[in-house]
Amino acid sequence: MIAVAGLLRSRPDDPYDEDDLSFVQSIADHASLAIANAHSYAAERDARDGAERATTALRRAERRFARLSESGIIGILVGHASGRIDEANDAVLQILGYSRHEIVSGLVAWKDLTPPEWREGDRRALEELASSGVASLREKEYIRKDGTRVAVLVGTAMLEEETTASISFVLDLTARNEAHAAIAQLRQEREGDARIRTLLESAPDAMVIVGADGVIVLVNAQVEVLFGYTRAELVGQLIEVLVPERFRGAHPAQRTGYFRAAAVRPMGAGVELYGRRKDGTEFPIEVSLAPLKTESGLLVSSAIRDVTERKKAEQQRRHLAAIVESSADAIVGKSLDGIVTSWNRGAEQMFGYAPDEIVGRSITLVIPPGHEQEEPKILAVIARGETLRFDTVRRRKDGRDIDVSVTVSPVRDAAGRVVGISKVARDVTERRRGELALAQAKDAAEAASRELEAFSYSVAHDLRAPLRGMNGFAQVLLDSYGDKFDADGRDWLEEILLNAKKMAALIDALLSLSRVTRSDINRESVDLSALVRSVAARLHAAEPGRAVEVVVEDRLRAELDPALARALIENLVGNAWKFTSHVSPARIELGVTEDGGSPTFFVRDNGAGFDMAFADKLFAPFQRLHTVSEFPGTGIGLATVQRIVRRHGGRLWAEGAVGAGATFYFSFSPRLEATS
Amino acid sequence: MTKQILLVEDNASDEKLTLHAFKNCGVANQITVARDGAAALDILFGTGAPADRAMSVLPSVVLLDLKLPKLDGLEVLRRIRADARTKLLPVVILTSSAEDEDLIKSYSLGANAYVRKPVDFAQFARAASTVGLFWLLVNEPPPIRGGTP
Repeated sequence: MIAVAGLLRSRPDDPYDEDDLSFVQSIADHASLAIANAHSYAAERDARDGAERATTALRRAERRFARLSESGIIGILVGHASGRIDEANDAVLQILGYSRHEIVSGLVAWKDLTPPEWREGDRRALEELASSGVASLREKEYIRKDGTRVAVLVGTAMLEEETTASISFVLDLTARNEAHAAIAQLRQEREGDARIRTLLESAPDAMVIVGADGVIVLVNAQVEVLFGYTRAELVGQLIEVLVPERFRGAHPAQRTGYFRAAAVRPMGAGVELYGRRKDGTEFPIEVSLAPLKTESGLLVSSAIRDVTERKKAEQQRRHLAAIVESSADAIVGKSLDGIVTSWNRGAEQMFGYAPDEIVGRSITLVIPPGHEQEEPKILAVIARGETLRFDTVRRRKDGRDIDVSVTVSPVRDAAGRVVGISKVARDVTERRRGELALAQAKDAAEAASRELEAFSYSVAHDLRAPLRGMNGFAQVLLDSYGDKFDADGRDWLEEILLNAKKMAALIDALLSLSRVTRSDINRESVDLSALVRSVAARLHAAEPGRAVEVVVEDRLRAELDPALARALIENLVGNAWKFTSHVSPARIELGVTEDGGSPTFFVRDNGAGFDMAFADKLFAPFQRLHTVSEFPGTGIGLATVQRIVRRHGGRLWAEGAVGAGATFYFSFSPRLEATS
Repeated sequence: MTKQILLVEDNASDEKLTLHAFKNCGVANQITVARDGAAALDILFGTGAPADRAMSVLPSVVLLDLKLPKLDGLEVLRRIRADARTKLLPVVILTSSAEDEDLIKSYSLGANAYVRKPVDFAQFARAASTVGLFWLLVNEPPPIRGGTP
């Protein structure tokens, strides 16, 4: 029994379990019984075996008792009903914190050692003691000398020889109670752990529980998914294993700081946080920290959320927002009752209101008088889920009205319900101004055209009349008075006639050139091949003596005004005809080449040709590269051709060399230089 | 009463040349000349100042220049066609212009012929005499509905 008690004592750090305690209890029970037995046994011996034997037995019992008493396992004290304590062993002194002298001198009454709430138990024990000689084991407390309390188990028996004295044994229950508490706590902790685990696993975020030393205590399954580690790989590691290398250095100090003032809060407010996977890749995270007070100390739970998708969405949103913000168009959000909810920089510049001046107010702020009815119409269309485009007028903050082109569309929520209005407005004042300028330019051009027409009319009517007079009177003179002139005189008169006719021809050429500029263009498919053949035939009929080979590629067609096309071919072929008059056999050719995929027609001759140095003069009116005596002409033909080609949006150019013929190319494919 | 030609011509040279051409073909004394559009109408309708010679009967043909002072040729033509008395009166446009526009307007307003005055006098004389002779001798004029009012 002593050995067992000693064994228990030898491991004071280990918490006692229930079995240990009941074992201690039984030791106490046995000890009390043993004491009682010892006394009754001694008395019986005295009665039966005589004084000597009794004395021997008693002596032996006393020795045993003394041994038990001295062993310090159990406190033993002998007290009187008066309250005086006669004896107390070391164990009792240790339990109560008094010295032996203080106890046995009678300064301390055992009654005073009991706190008031336990005195009733003491009273019942005394009654029991008086009636049966033994008081049952009971748990109670003593007040120690230092005022603290100590839980004890007490058993008491009356001493036979003195009916007023009793012997008690006292067992310190502090260790047992502590063990109980430890067990309860352990149980609680175990239950707590299980609860925490369940909570952790059901949490949507990755949860990591870390101790004050930064060591990971617990992780949930989401952590495994998120970071690519198994639970076993993480528990026991420093939390820094989940932190990217570049942030690891600063992290321990940060977490220590958190532990000093732990509170529920997001981690790294305003800082971009990153997690590091087992494979070394990083991803943006958001972390919520919460302190977790446990018996084993402060823990911190971190809820970690992968915000990659959200960051992406945010970036996209920022991107879109930047587009909206940088747009020169006004982009305005409105509620369904026309209250402005957003206002981009374009809107600010267009209307002159800063966002804080107009957001929360009605859009009617920018609607000028006379347009009030537009907004209800817009709202009605939007309510039907339709989009609306219209041109209207809006008023700026400075009172100036601007022309705007507006597109209004419904904004829908995820469920497809119309929850707002988006309005994109473009300032078309400049465009209007441009259109106006264009119209004015057109008017001016038309006025100029009318002037030209009037001028041409004058030329046609008035400039010819004096020529007719010159020619007419010279002719009359020649007819009526010709016999009065000698041969020279008649020559001079002939010169007058000739010059008048030349002037008339120039005027006619000028008029035909201006007619090209003035006439309307009505395009249709024109057979250029047939035109060339017909013109050549007419020229041939006029000069049947000339030998001219006309080579025409078949079926060459172009979309041209028929009258102008005829003038074009007449001039080009007539030109070729004229400038081949000194060569024989003459050759005139119509053909087509490809120039960048579009057809380029050409009229080629083997006539006099021209010096390329003067190529730019070919198409200018009244510019001639030959004298009239070499080749007659007005200098208007190629200028006319040039205008005809340009009026069709085409391009005309020439290649040639003196004495080696000329080739005139014309193309109607759209080109920049064609319109310049 | 011999048949008459009313020549509406503001250019003195052209007038002279035209008369010369007519003289050569023997119709010179049957010509009345108006030197502007208003005068032409006065002669035809007997209106205007007494100095203007009113024709006792309508001419067989009016040779009408287009470019005229006061009222231009097209306006004169329009008024001739607008009046019941002269609605059927033969009118020949005799002008320097060969512009399509002039041709179209003239015919639209009811001109009976359009003759361009060539610069070459020989051609011009031929044209004038042909026109004069045709309308005086060849053409059957419309029935006369009444004389001078």
